[in-house]
Amino acid sequence: MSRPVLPDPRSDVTRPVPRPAAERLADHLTRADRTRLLSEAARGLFGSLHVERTVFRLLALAVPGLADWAQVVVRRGRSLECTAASVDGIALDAVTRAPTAPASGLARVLRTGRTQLVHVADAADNESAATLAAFVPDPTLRAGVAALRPADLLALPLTGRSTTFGALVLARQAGRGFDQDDITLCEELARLGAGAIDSARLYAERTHVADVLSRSLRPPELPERPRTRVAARLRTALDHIDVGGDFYDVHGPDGDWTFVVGDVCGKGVEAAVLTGKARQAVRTAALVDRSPDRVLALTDAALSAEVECSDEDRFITMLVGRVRPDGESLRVDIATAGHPQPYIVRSDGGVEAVPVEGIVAGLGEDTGRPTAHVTLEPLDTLFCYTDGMTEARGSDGFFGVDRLTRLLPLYGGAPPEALVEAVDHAVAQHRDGRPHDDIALFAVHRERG
Amino acid sequence: MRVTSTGQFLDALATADPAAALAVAENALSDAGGPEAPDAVVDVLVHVVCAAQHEVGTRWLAGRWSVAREHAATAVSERVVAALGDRLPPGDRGHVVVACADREWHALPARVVDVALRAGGWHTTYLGASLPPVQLAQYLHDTGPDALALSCSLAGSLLGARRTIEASREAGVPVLLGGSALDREGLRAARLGAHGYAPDARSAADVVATLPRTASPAAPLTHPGADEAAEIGVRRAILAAAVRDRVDLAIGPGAVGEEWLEALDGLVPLVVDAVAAALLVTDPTVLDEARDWAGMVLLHRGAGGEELATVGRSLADELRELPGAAALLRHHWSA
Repeated sequence: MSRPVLPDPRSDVTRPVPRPAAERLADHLTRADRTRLLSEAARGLFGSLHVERTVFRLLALAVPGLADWAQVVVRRGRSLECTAASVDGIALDAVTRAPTAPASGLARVLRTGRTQLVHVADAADNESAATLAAFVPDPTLRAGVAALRPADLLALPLTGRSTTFGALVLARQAGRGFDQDDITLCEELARLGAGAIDSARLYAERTHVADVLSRSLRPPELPERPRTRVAARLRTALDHIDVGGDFYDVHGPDGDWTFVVGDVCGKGVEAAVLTGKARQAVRTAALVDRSPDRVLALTDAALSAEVECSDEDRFITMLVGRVRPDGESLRVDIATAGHPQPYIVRSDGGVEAVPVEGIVAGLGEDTGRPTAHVTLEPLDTLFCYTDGMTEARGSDGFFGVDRLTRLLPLYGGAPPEALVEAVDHAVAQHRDGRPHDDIALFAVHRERG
Repeated sequence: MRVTSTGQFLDALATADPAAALAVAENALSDAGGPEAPDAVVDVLVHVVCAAQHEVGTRWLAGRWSVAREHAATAVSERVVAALGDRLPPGDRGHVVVACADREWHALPARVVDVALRAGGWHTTYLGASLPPVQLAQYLHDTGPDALALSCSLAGSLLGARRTIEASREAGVPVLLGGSALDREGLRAARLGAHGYAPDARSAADVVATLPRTASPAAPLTHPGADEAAEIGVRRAILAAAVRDRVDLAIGPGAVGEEWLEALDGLVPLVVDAVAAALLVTDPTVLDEARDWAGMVLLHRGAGGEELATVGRSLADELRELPGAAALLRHHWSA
């Protein structure tokens, strides 16, 4: 769709552009060239969801194919973010204040959403300086286009969601000005670019919201503690979502701290929200009394109320441990709410299951959960997991406890990262790309003195 | 000095002692100019950590160290690299995401590159090994970095690397490739559609500076080898199992030791991958390298050239319907 470019009496300079036919860049563009350029643009612009990346892409499509110099301006609040490209292929970023005078230049394009074509004279006079400044507010970027004078500037609106949020400014050295066909082509490119940049802006806004909301649902940073090393890994069932129904957490002072490994039935965002509540409940309960059975009883009571309110029957399995250094070793008290038993991998490769049992949490049926007391000597590791690991399906069935207990002895005395990595790797090889449920692996290791 | 440090570091790896390893690295660092000198950090990584780690790989290859022992040593090295990297100030040259290709479990080289880039003034995010490709692509869209540095150690990772390069270019992010699965001239990297290739960690920071500011979608790979590589990729596990059966049958029960049968389990899928990778990048030397490596592994576990030839023949039999793969094996394995 073409639009007449009318001289605007209020603009600084608008004047018909001389068009010596033989020298116009656009004359070399056949119909096939134009079609190819637009299809390349469509192909190149639809893939990116990041604003800056999309802006770079648009600039690369414009220069040198359509113009000798180009600038993309995107409004953000009261600022304009300006990025420019010349034939050298270098893009520069600059942030500048949005112009206040709406009558001319960029401000006019942003206000009216209409294309504007202007000629900038060769002379370094005040008039052409003012014209340039109205379209290229950043002085550094302006230097790049000033070198092209005399030049023709074509300013195209970037419009999306019924708002002109930016502009694409193209410059050609005079003598290679923009004729009506060129303007039509450039407007089409600007429309494609606007669609892509606006989608990226929308995506960025939504991503930011999701990111802030889900921050507390992601696995925590593992604290460094004296001579105690914790390693963990979380693999979510849904590859594109980094939160899920499995969780782990670590909190408390070095001398007496608490860990929890748990599994909310279900996966994805809904399950993750419940893991957030479970983690918070455990943190609060541990402040009252770190005994694992007490932590589980309190957490269970708190979560039962939550679970009743939810649409589905949701229950939670959890393993809670209380860890206290005792000379060379670590004393660990463990209680479980229906969670798979953990293993101790001794430094010599001996493997012991920790015999703890207890009913799942979330049902409000606390029948008491006995505590197991174990000791980790130097180079011993306590290994906890969720059933997504043992139930990972391969060509010959579940990964299973047997494969796990054959692997664990090989890592006696090894750093816990190596153990966790080995299990993760073995499960991935077993699955060979098949889908899996959420998987959490968690190991506590006493280092040598 | 360095030789001594490397030896001491290796001793710490042998006992999987992180504290001892870190102490050796820190001593070497203060000898090399201290933590304030970014070059010194890279020096220690290359000449102490990587040099010792190379010896760890040799010991595994020679059958002297178990896989678990190699893993334990590598975990210690990774921790030391991370600790040294943490001491570098954040860079301001631009944002580079460092990751491993899909199916690439060797995280240490990527970690070293991450620190080397930071030492070179880049702001980096290390995403680690075996990140699902979807999550990596998502991350690129979310953060829009200036470049992706992708590490490929095993030939099989080249297949995943190609898909990640496609995703990265789709997102407008230029890609730098590096790692032992690539050739020194960077031909494989170029054929995969990467914008740059770094022959080693030290040069990575400079190569990133030469990458374009933006990337356009990668042109599809249309050569016949790409189709065959995809075919092999899809049937990877089935092929590996079938090849394994053929080898067992050819050799007969009890003819060889348990040790090399076990090695074969790990090796056959990698060799299948290498055939696919060689076809994908149109470079038969990928297969030469895999054959030489497989030969070394088997040799140290009591097998000889005859058994290696059997592996090649079994593979050729399974892949006889793919003309490119069959020809490749005929010329680069059976001979």
